[in-house]
Amino acid sequence: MSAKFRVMSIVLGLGILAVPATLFAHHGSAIYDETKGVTVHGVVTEWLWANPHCLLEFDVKDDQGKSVHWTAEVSNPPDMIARGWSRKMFKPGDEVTIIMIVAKNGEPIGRIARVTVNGKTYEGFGRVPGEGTK
Amino acid sequence: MAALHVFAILTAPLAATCLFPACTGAQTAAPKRDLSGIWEPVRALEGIQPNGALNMPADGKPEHELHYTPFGLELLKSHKSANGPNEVAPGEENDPAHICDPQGFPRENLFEVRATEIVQTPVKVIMLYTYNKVWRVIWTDGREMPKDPDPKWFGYSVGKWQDDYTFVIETNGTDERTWLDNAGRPHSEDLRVTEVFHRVDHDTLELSMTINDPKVYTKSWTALDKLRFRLKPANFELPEMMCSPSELAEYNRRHGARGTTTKK
Repeated sequence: MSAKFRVMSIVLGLGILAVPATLFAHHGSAIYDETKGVTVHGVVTEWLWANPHCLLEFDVKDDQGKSVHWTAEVSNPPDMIARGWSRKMFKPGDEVTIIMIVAKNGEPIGRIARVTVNGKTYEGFGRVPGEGTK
Repeated sequence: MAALHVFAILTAPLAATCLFPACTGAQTAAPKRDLSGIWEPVRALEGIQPNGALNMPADGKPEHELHYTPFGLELLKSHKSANGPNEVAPGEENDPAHICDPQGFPRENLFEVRATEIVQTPVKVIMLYTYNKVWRVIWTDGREMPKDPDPKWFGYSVGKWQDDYTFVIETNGTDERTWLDNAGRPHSEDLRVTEVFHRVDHDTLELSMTINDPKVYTKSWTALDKLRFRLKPANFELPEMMCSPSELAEYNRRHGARGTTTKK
């Protein structure tokens, strides 16, 4: 993650425990830095419930107070339904706390491992780096 | 009445723990020559198979190396997969399923295998797949396999009962534009696939699948070895999971195409 997108991040752990490769259905994981999780607090702008992967769009303020727009994916709707997610779980303006892995290339894109919205926490797509198998 | 009370008292602890098949694990007998029902892989990830055929994943291990003919090797090199150890960067892959072309057969059994409904009629077995809501027909009316058929995305399938609990399907006439699996393994129009469905018990089904394509592979290989399915309730609703070109384009615009593997 470049300084530009350092945001309010907390490195959760180092070991490569993120996700077994077998979790990924359509797309490879090589674009991500799976060695660490990044925690951000943001505001939802859009929630796309779609194939091949659902996307959450949200804004996060970085260390200088500048807003950075992020796009983060999870799996497809059937997989996320199985994890308790739904088409209506986010709406624009919702405040969210997200643990995600982010792209190696510095683009503000990621994959959500865990999200808290409206006081409820949901497991996302793949484990949080540094946490063992549940 | 008193006797009934005594019986109730004596049996109450048993009833509270386990008296019925559902909780004792005892199985209702499986119906003969019947695969009908909704079946889901016991382990979801074994159905998804992101790195290629479950029993022959493209993971670089010597035991999973396939043996190609020169023609097969050239075909393999032309397939650029976005998954597995040889994955290429987004934008460089050419997986036909990623532009919503049909997966076809046998990839339908080797990628994104989810809850699948099997319907039987007196002349055919129909498989209704969750992924992309496609179906396949397996003829059971005694016909022979077609000779030199025109290729189709899902080929031609003929099935026979080997015994009361084992159903064997042969398929040919598949379209060589499709990939065999998510790792981009190729096949030719000479491909012949053998599936063996074995109903282990009322609630359990196993699928084994063999690939035989002498034009591409120097020997046949086992793609699935007893992939295990569990019977779902009859009122289970198959989820909707479609490859939508517009959704795919939107995903790529917003996310997929921005994730090059090159570090800035």
